[in-house]
Amino acid sequence: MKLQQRLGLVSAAVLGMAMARPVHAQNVDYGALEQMFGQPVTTSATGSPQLASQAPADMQIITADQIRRSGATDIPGVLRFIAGVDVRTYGAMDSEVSIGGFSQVYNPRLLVLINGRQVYQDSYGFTAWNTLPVQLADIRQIEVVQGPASALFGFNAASGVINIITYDPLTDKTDTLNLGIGSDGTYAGSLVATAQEPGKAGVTVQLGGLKTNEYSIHSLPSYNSYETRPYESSYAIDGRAKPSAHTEVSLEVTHLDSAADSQSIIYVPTKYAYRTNSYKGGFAADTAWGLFNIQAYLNKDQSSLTLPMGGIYASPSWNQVSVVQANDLFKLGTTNAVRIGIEYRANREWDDTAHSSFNGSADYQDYAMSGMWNWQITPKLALTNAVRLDRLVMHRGTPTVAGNPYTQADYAHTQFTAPSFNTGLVWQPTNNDTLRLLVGRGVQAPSQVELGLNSATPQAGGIVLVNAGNPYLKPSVTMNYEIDYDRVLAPVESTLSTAFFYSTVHDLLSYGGNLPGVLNYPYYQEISQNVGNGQVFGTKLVLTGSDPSGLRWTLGYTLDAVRAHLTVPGPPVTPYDYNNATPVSAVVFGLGYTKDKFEADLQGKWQSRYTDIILNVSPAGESYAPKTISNFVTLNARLAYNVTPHLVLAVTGTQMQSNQTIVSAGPEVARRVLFTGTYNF
Amino acid sequence: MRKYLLSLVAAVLLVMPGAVKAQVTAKDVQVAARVLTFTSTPFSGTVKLGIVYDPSVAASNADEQALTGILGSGLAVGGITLVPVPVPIASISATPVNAYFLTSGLGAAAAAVQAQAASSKTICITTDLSATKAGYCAVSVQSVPQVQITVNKAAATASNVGFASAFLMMVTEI
Repeated sequence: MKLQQRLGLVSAAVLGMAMARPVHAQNVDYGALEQMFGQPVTTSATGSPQLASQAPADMQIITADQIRRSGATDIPGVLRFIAGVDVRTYGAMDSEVSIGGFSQVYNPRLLVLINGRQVYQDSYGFTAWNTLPVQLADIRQIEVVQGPASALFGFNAASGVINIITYDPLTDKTDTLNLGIGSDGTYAGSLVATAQEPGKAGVTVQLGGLKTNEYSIHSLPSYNSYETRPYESSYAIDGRAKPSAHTEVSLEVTHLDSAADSQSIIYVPTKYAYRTNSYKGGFAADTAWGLFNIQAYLNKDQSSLTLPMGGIYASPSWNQVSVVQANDLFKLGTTNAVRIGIEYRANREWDDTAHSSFNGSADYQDYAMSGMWNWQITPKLALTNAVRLDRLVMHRGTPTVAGNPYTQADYAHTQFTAPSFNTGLVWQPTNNDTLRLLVGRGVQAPSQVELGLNSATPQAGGIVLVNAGNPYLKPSVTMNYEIDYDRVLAPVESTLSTAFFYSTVHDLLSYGGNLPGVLNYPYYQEISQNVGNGQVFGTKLVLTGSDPSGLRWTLGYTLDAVRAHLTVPGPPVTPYDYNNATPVSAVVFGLGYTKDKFEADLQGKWQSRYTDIILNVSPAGESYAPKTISNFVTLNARLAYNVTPHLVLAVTGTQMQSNQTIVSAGPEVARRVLFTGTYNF
Repeated sequence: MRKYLLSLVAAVLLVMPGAVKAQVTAKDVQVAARVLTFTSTPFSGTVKLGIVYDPSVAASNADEQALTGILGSGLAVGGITLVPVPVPIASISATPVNAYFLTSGLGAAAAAVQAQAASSKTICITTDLSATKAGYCAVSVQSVPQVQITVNKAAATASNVGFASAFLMMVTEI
């Protein structure tokens, strides 16, 4: 019954959106700037456009070419071979992505955005990677920021940010049809089409879907049944126009449906269905007072859990997030760039099922102000400081359930103020050398469940299981100290990027259902808590390069050593084994070659062993069981042939090294092959 | 003796940083063309690019020839097409163009270009950083070893030339 209750709570998982963060930099023509400077341009480090190589952040940019050559069908598939990114597969369409240690399911420490709109879900604090309404063919670049970035993006950019930037319908014309068929009943398709009056108005419509067989589920717990044919389908419409040379308006609508198996927050595989909708509007003006942006968006999302063994069928819950953001970016004199911003956000989560998790709704508002100052001290030396202050206020509209140790008044008093900052000194003593000294403070807000859960479920023997949020939780704070050094190695046509960081994490957060309860007869109370502190030492060495002959290569090594000091016991009492939950070492490698009409790429990753967790359920009770995942290799390959300038045929093999590979406590991952045809019209 | 002194001066100039300027390259022109799309009133369509040179200065002459060769009868970059118009500096006021490209090696004589750019409210671009630093031309572009763009704020303002904020965030203003 406890499991059922927990899963009922999981069913309340909602798709939250948007915390205070910078407006996506409209009026920034990424394409033209990139062509002018000959390298990717980003706004994800400071909110101001700058060359990726000069950004005061540990950042890797995945270009559209790299995405295409990966042959991946989803974004985790692209991220898998990026040094420093830990991608863990839990199903054919379910992955967890972590950066900077403390890997776990429902990773709450990595913020994910599409064009500045948060797709991270505030409900349980995680990203459901199969709910991103974007087609890979429409992505200009994926910006991977490693390290806290809350001063720019707000809550939950505690260990990093992944910002997905799509093509701009005003200036980029993307017309692509992609169809794929593969082993294990895999069908994939996407269409991206743009209509535009270049520079004046444009609209891009993208739609697509993917359906496949779930991996073999024989290794999964028998107490559940699973989605054997997971799928996702989505569309997005992005329209932008320039009423004048100095103003821009934008409107975006997205919709997504998906159903897939996911590893839930209580370390039980479950079957989820999602339906997400978003509406976004923006206005930007390039004025005498700088580049002014205002953006508002609404995310309204539904998630439904199906758990036959628990008697739960399509148990839905909802989340709605409304966000208004405004900022102004301007120059003071010739060497100082300044950005100021404000943001308001309202977040509401509710359900109305028999397995209600909230018995009403849990709401909070966030008010934020932020600022950034970039000082170009000399042409080769720049100092950037960014600060942000968030004020979160929570309330609930109905009394708490009997047995909840907190009252409605307690929730009314839930509020905290969280400062965050980033400081970066970037020195480029020569055209080939870049040194960065970085310090950052990131903030992870408690999820809505951790703050506001409010459920009571009768148990055998007259006991009532009460699962409650804790209105007195502290936000978790990450401090990061980092030295990066990049060097262009012209003789070997490569760039060496190195990073060394030390992070401390205070007040780690845990959902109450994962913690031992307290019997306060007749109530058995499971309350969310801060569960201790931790630290990470890490390093990253990456060599990338290419030569005019068409050859390209990547070789990277990362180390993440995590030491946690928890106030709660580890497995089997709780699922927290942070010291072993992240592979200590990982090596990524890639080799590609383009010749005439052919394109061939090989990508691989080796990672050391780690310990995953799965919930065991037996007549004797429940316990969190460690599962050691031995070191393993992932090997993907893609071969493409340009039949005509418009038509490309390709074959991609994933997990080529073995028929079945154990990569997590989820199902064993199978080798798969996908044939695709891409027509660029 | 005078002959030797002149040779010595020439030799010193050659080894002085910035004294020797490679010819304008196609990549320089690409960058310059992109700059024109980031002005407050972005250029579009055909742009008559006045190549300001001094026939008596070898470096300037070489730049002019290189530029006319690169541009040919018109070079399309992004949404604009650059059409070369050779403009001897002595007759700069008599040749109306949409933008100036200042060749290198003109030294203080380039002040005339800025004067004309200011009076005709016309943007001036060069690969000669020293000319921009001296205020003779609003924008300097460099594409090797990496792209660097320098904007002389005073010269740009005098020519009534403004730029998009995003562009200004990514260049060096002096």
